[in-house]
Formats: sequence, structure tokens, C-alpha cells
Amino acid sequence: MVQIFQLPMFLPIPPLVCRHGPAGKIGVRRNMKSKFRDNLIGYLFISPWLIGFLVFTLYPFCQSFYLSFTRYNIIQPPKFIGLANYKMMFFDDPLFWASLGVTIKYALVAVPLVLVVGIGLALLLNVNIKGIAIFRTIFYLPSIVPMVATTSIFIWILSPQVGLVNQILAIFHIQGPIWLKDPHWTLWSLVFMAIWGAGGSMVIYLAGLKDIPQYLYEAATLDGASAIKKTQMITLPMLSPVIFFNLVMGVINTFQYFTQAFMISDGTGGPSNSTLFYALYMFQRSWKYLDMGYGSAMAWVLFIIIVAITTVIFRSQKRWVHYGR
Amino acid sequence: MTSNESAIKQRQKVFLYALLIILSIPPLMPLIWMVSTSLKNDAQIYTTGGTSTSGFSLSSLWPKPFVWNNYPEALERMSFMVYLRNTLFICFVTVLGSVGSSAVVAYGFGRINFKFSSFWFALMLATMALPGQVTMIPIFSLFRSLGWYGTYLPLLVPAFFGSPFFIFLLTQFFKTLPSEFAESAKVDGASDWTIFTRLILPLSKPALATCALFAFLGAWNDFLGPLLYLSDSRKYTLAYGLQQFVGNHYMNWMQLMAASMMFIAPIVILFFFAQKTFIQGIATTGGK
Amino acid sequence: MDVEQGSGIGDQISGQNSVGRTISRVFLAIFLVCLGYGLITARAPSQTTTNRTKVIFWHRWSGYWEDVVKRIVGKFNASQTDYEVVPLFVTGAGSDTKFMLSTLGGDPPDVMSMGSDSLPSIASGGLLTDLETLMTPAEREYFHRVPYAAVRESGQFDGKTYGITIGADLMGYYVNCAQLREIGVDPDKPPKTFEELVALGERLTRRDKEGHIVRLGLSVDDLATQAIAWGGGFYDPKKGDLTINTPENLACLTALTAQKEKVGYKDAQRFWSSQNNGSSTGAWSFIPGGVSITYDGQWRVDEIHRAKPDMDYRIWPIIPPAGGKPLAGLMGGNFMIIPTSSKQKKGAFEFLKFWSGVTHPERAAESFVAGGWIPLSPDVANAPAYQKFLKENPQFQTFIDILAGPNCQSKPRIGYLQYYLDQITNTQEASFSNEKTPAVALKDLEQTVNTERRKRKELGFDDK
Repeated sequence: MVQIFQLPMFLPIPPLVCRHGPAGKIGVRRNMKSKFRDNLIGYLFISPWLIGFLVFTLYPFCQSFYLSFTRYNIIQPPKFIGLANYKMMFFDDPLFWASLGVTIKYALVAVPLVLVVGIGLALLLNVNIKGIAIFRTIFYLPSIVPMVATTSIFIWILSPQVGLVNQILAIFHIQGPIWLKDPHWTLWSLVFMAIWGAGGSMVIYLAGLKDIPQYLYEAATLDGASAIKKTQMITLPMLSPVIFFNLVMGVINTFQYFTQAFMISDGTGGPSNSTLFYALYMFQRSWKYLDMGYGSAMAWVLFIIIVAITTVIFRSQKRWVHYGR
Repeated sequence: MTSNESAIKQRQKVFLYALLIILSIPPLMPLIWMVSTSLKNDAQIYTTGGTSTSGFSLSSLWPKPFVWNNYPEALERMSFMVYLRNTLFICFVTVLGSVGSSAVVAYGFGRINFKFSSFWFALMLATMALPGQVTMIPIFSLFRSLGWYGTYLPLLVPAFFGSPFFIFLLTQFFKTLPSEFAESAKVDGASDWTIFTRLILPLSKPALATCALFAFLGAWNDFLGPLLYLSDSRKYTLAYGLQQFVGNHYMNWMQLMAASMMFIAPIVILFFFAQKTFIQGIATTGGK
Repeated sequence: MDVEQGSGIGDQISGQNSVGRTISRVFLAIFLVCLGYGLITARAPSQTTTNRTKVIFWHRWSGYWEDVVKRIVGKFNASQTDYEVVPLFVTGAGSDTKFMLSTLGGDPPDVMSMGSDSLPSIASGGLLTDLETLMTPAEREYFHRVPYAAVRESGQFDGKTYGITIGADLMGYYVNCAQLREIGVDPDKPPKTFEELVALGERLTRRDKEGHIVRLGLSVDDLATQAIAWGGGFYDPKKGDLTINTPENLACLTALTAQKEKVGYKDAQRFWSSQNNGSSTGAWSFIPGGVSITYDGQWRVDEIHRAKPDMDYRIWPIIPPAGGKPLAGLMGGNFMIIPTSSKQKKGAFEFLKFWSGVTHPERAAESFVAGGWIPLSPDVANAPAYQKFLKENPQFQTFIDILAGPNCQSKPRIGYLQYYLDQITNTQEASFSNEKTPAVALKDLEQTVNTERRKRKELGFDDK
């Protein structure tokens, strides 16, 4: 059991990943022949993924890299045009920059907020009382309701004159904004929607909380630590690998944020391009304006941005992510 | 969780319930609204818009009269049962394929020490960061050239090559299993495959169930796959079939909501019953 | 699925008491039996009834409209001995993507009703059949002589005919008679000029004590179409060139912006977005009386007919400014296309002719009437069935007048039409919301579109 909390559950790459793997512990067979056998068997076992990787990831990946240097309307064969797509994107396409701006702004606001709300919900729901399964299901609901329904309910809730939110604000004599029709407020409306759906990540935090050994709390209680202190000193540090994982996934998902923006703006990215998210613009370019070459170039830039940001987050993990011990 | 006085505990409990109930309102709103809309008729939808500023009122949520007919009509209009059958078939095969293949791969990563294993593992994790849009068009061309367009194969076959997320989960899980069993089995001459199927798999039920649930939810909700690859409306899945209610200049709001209710009901029930296993499975607390 | 569900339920149930367990199990068993029965007996509606050659037809009409489509198809099938059309609904937003993918995948429909806005870009990719190659010389001659010019041109690209309308769209003002009479205005005497219309709108607007709009007098929209009434427009069909930053367009945008400002753009938006107006959000605030005069498409006639058949309303054409052009229109809507890779072009074209009225306009009139659609030609409009429809829905006549008038245009026949229209909408928004002055907004539009044009030229897209 002790070993368990030394193994952070969501710990991608460096520290954990089989540096000297568990098989090292076996240490029975050390000769060359068995080494070769291990390699062979190891590769045999991972071969399904390896083949899938080559066929469904690496090959399309290279293909799309090529497409990003072409003019390709998906109907006629692609035509090589060198760096033209990238040149246009960086120097001649204000919408590209606008969409990048919208996405980054949203990421900076929504990702931390969703993180906090998700952790809060998990802490709240990590109790053993009667009916907790019902509450967990309720909070999980928003992440399984079809997007069409989610979006329309938000159009209704955020409706400026008759919507629930502005009605509540009106009680306090505050004139609510016109939310989805005001370019300054659309982003916040979407953030609002994201927070509402934070229950999806709650499940993963709950799992993380289950991983924290009880004796740590018992020891803290004996030392007379308050609940807040316990959360601060035990729960959050122990949960940090999970938070880290959710942060990474949150950032990745934000840069691919599409459906909600598409539905709320009828696919236009309006008003005034305030919901023109990167992925939505990429979709417009590829499928509406039939410019797959440009779309591929945008997809590649997106990939590089995600890799860059993820790397930065990984670099930062030493400072705040605790892997037990 | 902590040992407190029982009176305080009682008060805390009441407070906790109150808090939970209040916080439950926002996530329940859409469900209430969906149910309400699914039981209305055209005319009632029209009046909810209203012309007065008093506008929003809870009473508008109460259908008058109840129109139960939307449910059977929605069932009929979108051939619900046929789509359900298609969806269940796809779910079944993808769950089997992705969990099975992921477990095999995870055993390789988690329990065998082979050359460059950490490199491949890192690479696999990195592919999770890859936006799907990058590979969408080439993969489509690939399946088309295989002649798989219009069949279920593009939705099913990739599942058999493992999913990075599941492989990751299972690898972590397999590592927590004690190695003594395996070692003694090896001494007895058992092959890795025997150890995998006879020892590891039976011990990993919670983790496997979690992956299965994730896979099921993924396949159940998949919209893009059917959009890209299915052309015959008799082969549609539920998630895609829901779009049948969204048309040009017209949307059958009531039937859409009725169908959506029937669409989410199974997963709500599934989650409700399985959430304990689900959460336990993610939390690699296995090794019972 | 059953395996996973089973294990989860088992876990849960084992912790409960025995009564609960029994009830749960009985419940589950009943449910599973019912479900199993339903699944096994479920049959997809059979698509064909005969062994004639199948023609697959994709359309974008759902719900009530789908029944209309099915009726028309049924009539066609009854008239046929060689072909049987199988109608399939494809969802509105994804239909173009789906069409292209199915074509690439080698399983396209034989005939499809496509939105006019996406037609040029798809046609420029070579995916569509030049319909004139399927016509007999007599049909071709008729097609170039009789149909309304705007309707015919809307289906053309690069001088070839790729689409023929089966249900085109036009816009006009829907007028609530009761609310006009309330303030002593005769709804049968539309204002002469846009300025008068704006003044009328002001008189019809109602606000509460806090100044919030409770009834909107006038809602105007759609710079691209309105500009034609100002003598401008964003495309010169004769030269085949874009006209963006012209004095006429500027005058139009200025006038529309001024109207928005008068009402209070934010107030109007506040009111408007509370009203569930979008075609995808269900209700339309004109019917309950939330807006007195509103700008919308001809498909609303049918909606009124269904939701409130006794409603007293009128449809006015776009009201031009003093000295402007009357009866302005910009054609859009559904156009029947036949993919290049269709395997049943002949059958598809038979069906296209049946519905659109390239031949037998009297018979085609029945299909246009069934959905309340804009007709292809005066021949269709004058056919008895259509005349009867006009008698029952006299307000619809406005759209016929627009169509027959000299100021009804097709949308720009350019490969990047979608992009262009999106940018025009953005421009209008920027000006209405006071983010930019009309002059700056138009100048920016011109610059953006020119950049895009240059880009496309450099990249070698086939533009003029």
C-alpha cells in the first residue's frame, strides 16, 4: 500500500516513466539472450499501439505536414505552393491573429477557473454520506448532456431581458450585460458555460482524493491541524499530480475548443469575431472556404503552440507538483 | 472522516446537504428544461418567448398540457431503435477492442523492460497532445482508399490499436501490482502471455472497468466519426441521428429534446450505478 | 455494454438491502426485456418499394418540411416507371461537408438540394454537373428564356448552370397589421421611403418605465440586400466584379446604422436576443407581437400559417430611401445540384425537372406550393395551382413582385462567396455596434476582401 502513493497516478513523462522500469526489479535473467527475449516480447506486446501509431498518427501527421505546403480544396489534387500558406497566415491574415487572441484569452481565464471549481466540487463530494452517488451524478450531468441542449439552455439563461442571470442581477438593481450579443461579454458567457461543465473533471479529482492515504489526515488531526490547514498541507500537495494532469489536458482542450463556439455563434464566430476560436476559424478555412492547405498549416501551428505551452507547464512542475515521498 | 463530536457532525451534515442541494440547481437546470421542453407542443414554445419584461418565470417550465406524444414521435422520426442498435454494436466492439488492445500494450510498457521503452512511452503520451484536426483529412483519405467509406470499419478498427489514455492508465495500474506473483510464475515456466491473461488481467478489473466506461462514453457520444464516414441513414448512430431534428429554417425543438432525453438516460443511469467503480478505477488504489 | 453495466450495478447493489436489491433487479429485468424486444424488432424504414432504378436524393428539410419533401417525392415516384427517388435528410449545418466527403468517399447522392451560398465554391472544385449538358436543346432554350433571371443566375458559376432552384429564398418586411392600426396607420399603404419607415418604427416601439424596449417597432437587417435598394450592392452582375466601398453602399450602411442608433443598438439587442428569434431556436417574436415590423424570409409565411393561421399581417418589400430602387432582392436558398460522380444523372435530372418546372410548369407549381417556395419561372407562378396558393396567401405576392422586378439579383458568383458574405456580416456588425464608423467599416471590408482576393490569386485558386 505504501508504494501506491509514491506512484502518482497521472504522471506523464520524465520522473516516473520506466527509467529503470519495474521489470528491472525482476533482475533474475541478466544474460544477453534473455535481454533479447525481453526486447522481442516487449515489442510484441506494444505492437498494437506501435502499428496504430505508425498508420493512424505518424503517417497522417507527415501527410498533413505536406498538405500545409499546398493549395488543396479537397476536391482537386493538392498543388505544392511552398511556404505561401504560412506567409499568409503570419503576415496577411488578421483573423488568424484575432482567433489566436480569443483562444489565449479564454485559456487564461477558463482553465484556472474550471480547475478551481473542479477541485472544489471534488472536495465537497469526497464524503461518505447517504445519497452522495446521486449528487455526484448530478454534478457529472453537464458533461454528458448533448451540446445542442447545453447551448440552447445557455442562450435561454443568458437572455438579457428574460434570462435567469439578469433577472437575479436585477434584484440587486444591476443591469446585466447582453451576454451573447455583446462582443465584450461573449467570452465570459463561454467561461460561465465552462465552469458549469466543470463536473466532468471532478471525477478525476475524486479519484485523486481517494489515493491520499487516510493516516496522513489522522496524523494531522492528532497534531490538532484545522480542516483548512489539512487541505493546504495534505490534500492539495497530494492532489497536485492530478491537478497537473488536468491543467495540461485543459490547455490542450482549450486550443481545440470548437463545438460551443460553433453553436453559440451559428458557426460565424460572431459577434465581432469575439467567439472566433482558433479551432473554429480553422474549421471555417478548411470546410467552409474549402482551403485544406491553409487549414493544415493552421493545424500545424496549433500543434506547435500546444507543444510549446505543454513544455512550459512541464518545466514548471518541479516547483509545485509533489510526487509523494 | 475525522473524529468529531456527534452533535457538531450532525450540524455539519445538515449544512453539507443544504450546500449540495443548492449547488445542484445549476447542473440540473438543463435537464429540467429538457424535460419540460420535451413535453410541450409548438404553441407552448411560442408563448414562452413572450412580449413582457416579466418574462422568465418558473411556471413557464410547467407544460400545459403535457404532450407525451413527442416521445413516440421522436422514436419514429429518427428510427431511434435502429440507431440504438447501431450505437450499441459500435460501443460493444470499440470497448472490447480499445480496452483489450490497451491492456496488452500496457503490459508491455508496465511489466517488461525492453530497449527504448521509456522513449516509446513518452512518445505515446505526447500523441495525446496532438490535435485531431491535424490528422483528420489524411486519415479520411486513408480509409477512403481502403474502400471503407460508408462502413463501420473506420469507427471500429482504430480502437484495436490501443488508446494512449487507456494505455497510460493501465500501465500505471499494472505497475502497482506486486511483482512476486509474476516472478514465481516465471520460475514455474509461465510465459508473459500466460502471466498477463491469468494473473494481471483478473487483478485489474476496476481499472479495466474504468477504461471500458470511458470507451463506452466516447463511442456513445461520438459525433465526428459518423459525420465523416457514414453515408447511409440506416447506419447512423444516436449521437449523429439527433441532428435529424435540426433542419433548414426549422427545428423540431420538442422532439429533439425528447430524443435527447432518451439519448442521455442510459449514460446517466450507467454513471449513477458505476461511479464508485469508475472513480476507484481511476484512482489506482487496486492491488487488492 | 451489458458486461460493464452488469459489474457496476453488481457492486452497487451488493451494498444495499435485500428489498432494494430485489426491486432493482426486477426493474432491470423488465427494462432489459423491453429493450431487447425493441432492438430485435426494430427495422429501419424501408427505403424502396419497387425494383426500379434508385435515385438517392439528399435534402436539408427536417420535421414538418420533411413530410412536404416526402409528398413531392411520392408524387414523382408515382409518375415514374423507370426511377424511384429515395429522399434522405442530411443535417443543415454539416450537409456541405457531408456532401464533399461522400463524393470523395465514392458514395455521393445522385441529386441534392444545396444552399446557394456554398454552391460556387463546390462548383469551382469541379464536383457538380453542368446541368445544361443534361438538357435537350428545347429545354435549354426554354431555360434561358423563361425562368426569372435572378433565380437562373443564382445556380450559375463561371457561365455554367450547376443548380436549379427548387425552393429559393427572398426577404421582406413582415408587418403586424393590428399594431399599425392601433396608431392609425394603414398597413396596406407602406411608407414611401426608408426615412418614413424608420419614423414609423419609432412610433411603434414601446418601452417600459425604465426605458427597456417591450416591443420593437422595426427591425432592419441585411446590408448585402438593402444596399441594392440604395442603388448599390456588393456585386455587379454585369461586370462580374465586386463593388464594396461605393457611395451607395456607404449611404445604406450609414442609414441602417443610424436607425439602429435611434432605437439604441444595445437596447434592441437586449430585447431581440431575449426573444428566441434565430431559426434554430424555435419561436419567432413576430407571431406573439414582440416586434411590429421585422425583416425576414418567405419561409415565415408557412410558419405563421402553422402557428397562428388567423394572424393579420402584410409583407412589404424592402423600402428604398428617397430616389432609391424599389423591390430590391438578393436571391438565396435551395438549389438542386447533381454531383459529377452521380451514377444516375438521368434519373436525377428527371426528378429535378419534375420539381423545378423546367418542363411541365403546371405540375411543378404543385411542388412549389407544397412548401410555399419561390417559383422558378413566371410560367410556374402563373400556373393554376400557384395562383390558388397566392389567393390563399395574398401576402406572398410581394415576393413574386420582387422576383419579377428589375432589382432582384443573384448572390455574387465567386468562389469565395462564403468568406465574402461572412465579412459583410462582420462589417455590418462593427458599424451597428459603433465599433467602427460606417466609412471605416466599409474601407476595412474592402481591404480585407482585397487581401483575400490577392491571396487566392497568388495561391492559384481559380478566381476571376
